[in-house]
Amino acid sequence: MIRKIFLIFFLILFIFFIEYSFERKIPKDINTELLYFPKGENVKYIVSGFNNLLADLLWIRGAVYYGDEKIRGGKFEYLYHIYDIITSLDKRFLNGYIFGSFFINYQLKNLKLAIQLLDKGIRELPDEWVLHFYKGFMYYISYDFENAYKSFLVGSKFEKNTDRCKKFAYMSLLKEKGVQNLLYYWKEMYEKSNNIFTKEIAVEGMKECIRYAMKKYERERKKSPKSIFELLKEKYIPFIPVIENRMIRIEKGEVIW
Amino acid sequence: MRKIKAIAFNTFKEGSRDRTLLSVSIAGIIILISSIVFIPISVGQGIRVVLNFGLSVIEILLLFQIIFVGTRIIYDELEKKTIYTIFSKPVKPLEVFAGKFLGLGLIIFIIETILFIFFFLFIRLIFGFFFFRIFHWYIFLLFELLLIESVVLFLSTFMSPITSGIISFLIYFIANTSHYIKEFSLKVHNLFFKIFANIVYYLFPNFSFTNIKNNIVYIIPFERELYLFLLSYPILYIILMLYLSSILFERKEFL
Amino acid sequence: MNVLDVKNLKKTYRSQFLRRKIKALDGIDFSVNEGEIFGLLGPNGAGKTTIFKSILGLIKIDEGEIKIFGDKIDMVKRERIGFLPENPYFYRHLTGYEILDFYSSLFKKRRNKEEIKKLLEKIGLEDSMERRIGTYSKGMLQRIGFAQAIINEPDFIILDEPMTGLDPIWRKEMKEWIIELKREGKTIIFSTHILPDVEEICDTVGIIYKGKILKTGKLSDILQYKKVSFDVMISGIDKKKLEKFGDVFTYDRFEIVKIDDDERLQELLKFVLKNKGKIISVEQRKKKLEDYFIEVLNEKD
Repeated sequence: MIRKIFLIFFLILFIFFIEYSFERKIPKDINTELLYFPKGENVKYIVSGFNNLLADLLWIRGAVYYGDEKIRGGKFEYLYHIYDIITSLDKRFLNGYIFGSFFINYQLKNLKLAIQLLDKGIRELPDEWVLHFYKGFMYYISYDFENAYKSFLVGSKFEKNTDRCKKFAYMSLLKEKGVQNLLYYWKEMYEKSNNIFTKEIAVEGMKECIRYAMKKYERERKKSPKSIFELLKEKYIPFIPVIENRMIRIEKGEVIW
Repeated sequence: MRKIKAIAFNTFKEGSRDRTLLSVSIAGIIILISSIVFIPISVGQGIRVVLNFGLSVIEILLLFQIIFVGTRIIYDELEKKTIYTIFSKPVKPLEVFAGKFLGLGLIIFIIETILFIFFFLFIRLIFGFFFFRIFHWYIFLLFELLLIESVVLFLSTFMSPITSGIISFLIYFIANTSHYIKEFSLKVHNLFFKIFANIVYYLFPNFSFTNIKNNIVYIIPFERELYLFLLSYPILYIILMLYLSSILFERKEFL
Repeated sequence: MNVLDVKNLKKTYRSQFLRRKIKALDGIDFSVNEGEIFGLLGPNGAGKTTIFKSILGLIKIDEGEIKIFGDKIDMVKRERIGFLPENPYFYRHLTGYEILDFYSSLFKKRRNKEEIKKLLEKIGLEDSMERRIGTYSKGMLQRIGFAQAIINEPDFIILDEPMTGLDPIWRKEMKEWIIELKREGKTIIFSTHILPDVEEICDTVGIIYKGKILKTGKLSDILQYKKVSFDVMISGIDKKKLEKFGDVFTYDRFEIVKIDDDERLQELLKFVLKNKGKIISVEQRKKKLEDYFIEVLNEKD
């Protein structure tokens, strides 16, 4: 009996060893399964009533994919594909459109795709003012003030909307002058969010505001600001963002945190 | 009615003592508890994910239970010849099918109740609120499952357990997607496909009205008339399936 | 009155693979009178079970007529019939008590708890009534099967190989139960391939072979059919001298002569006494049912 147990144990060990060695020898492209994932519309027919569950699992998969790509410095090729499938499987998944557009705009620097995703949401959820807001927001942080204004205006017409759309519509009219107020928004987003990805986007947003203020300073003053305090003193930014006891600052012409 | 009750109770006792009731309930509870792992990785969508996961797990488990047990209920009677001791008595095939249906239905009802109550309390424990809306889905799901159960019993009168199991899964799949096929047919200019789509839509079970998971998770109101639909469509379909089963069985020879 | 009348019963099956026709029953005719025990005798595969299934409507007949209590079987008649199938099988997770309670509930007149317990006592399963059927032995299953066959106090009981799986004690009990049922005025038909069982308790016998009833008749008539024979044990006479009377076998110091008729017996006895031989014993051998059965089958071949 003992001999049999030993034999089984060694067989298991041997199998494990083989798997382990091959795993190290043959690199796997961790995201290849996403290649075979068809469009969300088609997947919907296959999953037969469990659309929402699959959307949720893909949402988690999307977060894992995002993290993996960040770590290995990837190109986020499938980012839009994932959020497109998620929102096709579950058309009511509001955050799928919002977060998806944020990540696409932030990582792929592709405003067109981000807007495409939000437009899809607007078609599926015509009663959601918040999608118009975020559409406007995407335009705004890309400094397309005209389109931003249009979207904010549409959003502000909804009964259920908050004053936010009106506020941002006004900021869009201010064009460059309004950008500094974005700092408040990014700070609020950082404080209210409970996931690291959106916090990261918020920090980057704040840094982008500072960079924008720096460029405006350089254009107008024909010199670079020595520190962030100068920007504050000259009213190019309304406040200096302090996050987790660390200040965003300017060092050697770079905005760092 | 007395005979149907006796057969139903007999089926329930036989099924529940087989430890199916206990093991499926325990498995369900364990899987529901494991949904906690999704909360930290779901990027702020914890409630949504747990709700979707929980409701889907309960549905899938119960579906498996119906198919694995239901495909064998009549088959075992024929294989083990217990059918002789039943049909030599003054019992009609319809009474046997109705009794078997109710017996297995009672098992499903109990497992579903246990899992739903657990899930309801689990949501309260993890998220801090009572999500009473899931009990709407509890009722709709029960009717969906009972309808599938009747289809399984019908198929088992003339198919082996494996074949009837596979076809039952397919029919469940069709029940959830037939409205897509019908919608698709409206966009296609092919008469045969339109006819085919309509046949599939009307002939097979149709869960497009009863799948209210989305409404539950997103707290979207649904028409209360759907309850009227529940009280008519599945019940009529079940009666039809049981009746067809009994007709087929009357023509059967117990060799 | 005949409780059961079967006329020209025919049933053909098709084999599963090649779809060949197999004649299971080829024109069966017999009747069972009220209050008698009818033994259906035949080798395995003769068609005994097929006849019972036809009577109960469990299979459809191709031709012929079956009348129970003067008419076709229906739900009302089933209230008066009990059936024990061959190698009965029951729901393994139910207890003995629950099984009987379940079957009883399928009839108009349901037995109460005490009556079921009494029945279980009768069949010797009172100690096992709370045990699950899955733990029962073959003999116990047979007994519980018998109990479910009589749970509704039927007037007509059909038993398919009722002695199967029973040890000698319970075989004897089963035969006594059958006789007791007859005393209560019930009519019983049972099938078997064990001849002594039929010999002991049946009133009427039907011999079935390859789907045909070869012979039916009263048991007493069948056993009277041939004359009895004698075995005469003799000493002191040479074997060759005895051979003219019949077959002679040597056993130790004795010769045994087999004689088929009375006259020859008288001649033999006179011969032995005349030749100063000794008659050790004269044994009468009755015609057994087994002999009759083999004869009938041989005739058929």
